Amino acid sequence: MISFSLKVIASDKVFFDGKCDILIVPAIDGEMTVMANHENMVIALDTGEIRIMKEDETWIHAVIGIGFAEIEDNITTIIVDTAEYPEEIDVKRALAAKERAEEQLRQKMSTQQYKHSKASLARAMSRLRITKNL
Amino acid sequence: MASSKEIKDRIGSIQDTMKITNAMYLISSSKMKKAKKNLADTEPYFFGIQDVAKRILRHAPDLENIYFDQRMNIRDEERKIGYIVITADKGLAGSYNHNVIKTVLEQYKIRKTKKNSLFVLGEYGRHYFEKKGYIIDHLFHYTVQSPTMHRARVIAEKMVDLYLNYNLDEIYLIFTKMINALHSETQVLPLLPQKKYSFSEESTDNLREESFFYPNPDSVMNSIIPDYISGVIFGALVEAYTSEQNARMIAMEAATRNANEMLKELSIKYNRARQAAITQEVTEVVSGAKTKNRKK
Repeated sequence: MISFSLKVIASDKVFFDGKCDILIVPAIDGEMTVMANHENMVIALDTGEIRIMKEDETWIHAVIGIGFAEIEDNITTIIVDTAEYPEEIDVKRALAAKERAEEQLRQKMSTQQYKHSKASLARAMSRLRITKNL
Repeated sequence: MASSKEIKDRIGSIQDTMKITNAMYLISSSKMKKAKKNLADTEPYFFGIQDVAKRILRHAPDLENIYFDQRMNIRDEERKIGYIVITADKGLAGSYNHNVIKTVLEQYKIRKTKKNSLFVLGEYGRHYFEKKGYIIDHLFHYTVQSPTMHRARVIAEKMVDLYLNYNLDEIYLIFTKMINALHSETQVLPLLPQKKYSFSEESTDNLREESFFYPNPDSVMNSIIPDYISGVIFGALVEAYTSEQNARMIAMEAATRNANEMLKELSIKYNRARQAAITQEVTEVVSGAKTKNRKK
């Protein structure tokens, strides 16, 4: 398989830097797959699971926060606010965050608060999904 | 000449102050180490997001997006400008705070508008501008200690909201950027509205086709720009925090050195005064004894 360069940059670290064969990212309206020689493109990313198949055909699964991906001449750069391996996720904390967000969503609130709670619920859900706790 | 007791008191007080400056030096140098690591971890993101955003904007098709609306119909005198200003929570950091404040005042002079508002981070700046009677947002209350992504996101959201509701027409970020261990520089960074790079400014190596935006340019921009702004604010918070610790470290190091010099001088003075007192006493005793001998 032909591989391409991928760099995943989170706000606190460089999460991934190297070659990969297949990249699956969560776009706003569903997942998208990127392979070598993909058209130049900018994709808005949503909170969710990212999957990377490296050259040795092993898969990396991770959870990312919102951000965007830029594909340019076989070099893909993903810039997101957070990126975590499943092992790094604190399940208890994610569960608590999910419950808190659901609790807040039940109450009356401003549009901004609603957006906040929705976003934190989405973050907690994707964290739990990847650790198979949902 | 001051009496030896006075000099001794002075030496004591300098020694006490030196203990404090030395302790502050040690504290800020350990904080600095942590901040530097944080900075090194954040820098790829900070620069990456700026680079990629710039590149995207250069190759973006013409688009009508609220984040790029320069609001040309509003005259210079009427424009409402917001400044996010990052200062320290405490003083005693050399010229760190003063440089930031000076830059703010310069900005005030350059622009014609009177409708400025300040969003100040850090106690020092807040006190200063409050005392001088500037309009500052009192609900904008965040600390600059150990910056987090969450805080940057909250700040960015608030500022973007003010911009979208036409409460502000332009937003700038004023912070201190660290260039190297000895040098830092105050920067004024425009946050909103974003400028779209025109093709005439483009250098030759960037000739390429327009990228395809998925699902469409407008929604990609709507998701990138708020993100970009919180990313830039976070980067600026980390940069400013590191510069602050660095400035304090240098200032305290200089203070400790000065105290040492003063102690050296004073101890010489003290010894002279003590010697003079002894000499005088000896002379008195000798001359007293002489007169007594003569009387005999």
